Amino acid sequence: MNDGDLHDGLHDYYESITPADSVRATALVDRAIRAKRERSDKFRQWRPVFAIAAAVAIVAAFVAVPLVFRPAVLPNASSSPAATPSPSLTPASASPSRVGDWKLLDASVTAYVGASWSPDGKWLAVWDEYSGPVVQDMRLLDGAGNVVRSLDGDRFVWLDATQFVLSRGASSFLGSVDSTVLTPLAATFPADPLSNNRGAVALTTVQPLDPAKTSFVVWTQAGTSRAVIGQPEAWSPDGTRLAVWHSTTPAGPRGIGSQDTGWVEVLSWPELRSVASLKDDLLVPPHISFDPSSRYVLLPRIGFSGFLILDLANGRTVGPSGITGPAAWDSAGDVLVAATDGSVTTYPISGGPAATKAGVGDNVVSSADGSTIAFYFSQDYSSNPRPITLIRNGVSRAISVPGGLESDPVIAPDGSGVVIVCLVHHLLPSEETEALLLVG
Amino acid sequence: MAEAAVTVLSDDEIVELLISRTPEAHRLATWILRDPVAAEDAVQEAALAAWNGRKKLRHADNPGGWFTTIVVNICRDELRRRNRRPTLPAPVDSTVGEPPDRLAIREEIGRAIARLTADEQLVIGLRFGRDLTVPQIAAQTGLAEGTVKSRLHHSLEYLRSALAAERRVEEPEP
Repeated sequence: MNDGDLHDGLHDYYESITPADSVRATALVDRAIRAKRERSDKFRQWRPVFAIAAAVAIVAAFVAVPLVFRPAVLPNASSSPAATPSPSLTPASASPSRVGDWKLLDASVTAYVGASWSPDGKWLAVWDEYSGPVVQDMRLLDGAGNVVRSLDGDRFVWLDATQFVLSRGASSFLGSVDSTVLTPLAATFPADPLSNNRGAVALTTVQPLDPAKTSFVVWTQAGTSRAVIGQPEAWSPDGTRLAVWHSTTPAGPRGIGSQDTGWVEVLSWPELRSVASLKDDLLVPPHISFDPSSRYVLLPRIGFSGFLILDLANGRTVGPSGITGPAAWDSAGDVLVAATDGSVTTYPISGGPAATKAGVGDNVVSSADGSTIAFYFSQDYSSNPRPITLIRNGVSRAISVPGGLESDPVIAPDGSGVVIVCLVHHLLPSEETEALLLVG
Repeated sequence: MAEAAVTVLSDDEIVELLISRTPEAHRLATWILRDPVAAEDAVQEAALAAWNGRKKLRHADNPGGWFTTIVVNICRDELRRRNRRPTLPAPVDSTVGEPPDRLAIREEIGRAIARLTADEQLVIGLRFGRDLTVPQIAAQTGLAEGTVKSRLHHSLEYLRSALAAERRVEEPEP
């Protein structure tokens, strides 16, 4: 397809999706704005009463709170209530600045930032958004957030604690934290390489027209495996199991809101033999995860409407049922489920009694070993300081970051470090900035 | 020197402004999100954000442009959310009597655009849907013109290769 054809095709495409009328959109806006205005007018009318009530409540709180409340855990030894981070940030510098509970690694970026920890949590790679064939600026940092090296490339993936692979166009290179030398590889790594952190990387060839024909190989420095049908989604923490999504979505165009359908199979590595599989109409591929022991697989259903847990020892589903909400594993192998009311509940796989922990947020992620758990608001795009609950080895700690989270916190596999990308000064024109924070 | 007159909008005028701008904002959001229903949500969210920030809107030099920028920012957020949890593109409209090839090409283009990053989808939508020039896209998004050019260039390069790959799959070599 030449330039002219492509431009004509794009114009034709956008013309075809132009809405014929916007009557419904206008009615929605009209109703929403007028309702909002009505509420604010009512508030204005009652404001003097609210002001008096608020003043009384504040005085009462000053008197009562010190008598009944003692914080269980301070954010950290160096912070105090006055250490709440300020939303105004300075640009990146050679040595990261520290504000309260986190270090600012960079606030000059305007693009979506990706980050990846080395398996031992001692090194951190960060880069701007994946832009197809665009070569990215990458940086390699030590665990304290100091820049060790700058790199050009994309499709970054850790092979093990010290070696990594990155690519530039059709070329892929092997690198090491101990050396500035990049060694060309015979293989080309496509987008989204998936590493088991023990030298094996699943490389997927996506077939957009017919997802059922998507296939992958597993690459190691010793050679490449045979091609296998399916899309790799997650490795087990011990690197011996690979969860693979098999799409059953028919080839061809789909309707609005249609969801990829399919089933999950777990393969052994290096044999690539089927260990277990599960078919369920509501399963979706994102956020599939193994428990720290690598025996159980958590399989989310569409829209966090629930999940299934597959026991690889016998191929059966186990654990709690009928539970909804985002889920993650803790170090004991129990399932943590976030609720919209700001709590997180632990459900033992064995079916024992559930226990609820206090926290703030409606989503939860954990490190591969389950030792560190982050509890946060996922759909929050405000530029005000936001709370996150961090539970590390059972100790809960409340921290505050300067804005809504742009993506899930990235936690080192061993739980030793957490990286957060959040928005600051977000909504207003020309003021959007993304901040990259390191939580120690 | 005479001071430029600054229009101060009343609440009533702001409501009228937002409502009068909705059809254009809806078209813009549809071009960016490629889904008229998601576009309705985005415009509603933008209107509420504009209303909440009406103190700034009241004194803005170009209140319509301010609202449009909020719409663009909210659409960009929605695209980023989609990138984290990809969804398939909305089907394109077909007109009676249109050749099936044309419809197939539209479908292919829709799928290829869905695989671009959020910011690339944004600039492609503004360029080919809204028909904005590079400087206009830069002004609308707050990006440098060089960044817009680069994103357009790489997006078109990607689309060209993605569409060529689809063709190869459709028409395997003998």
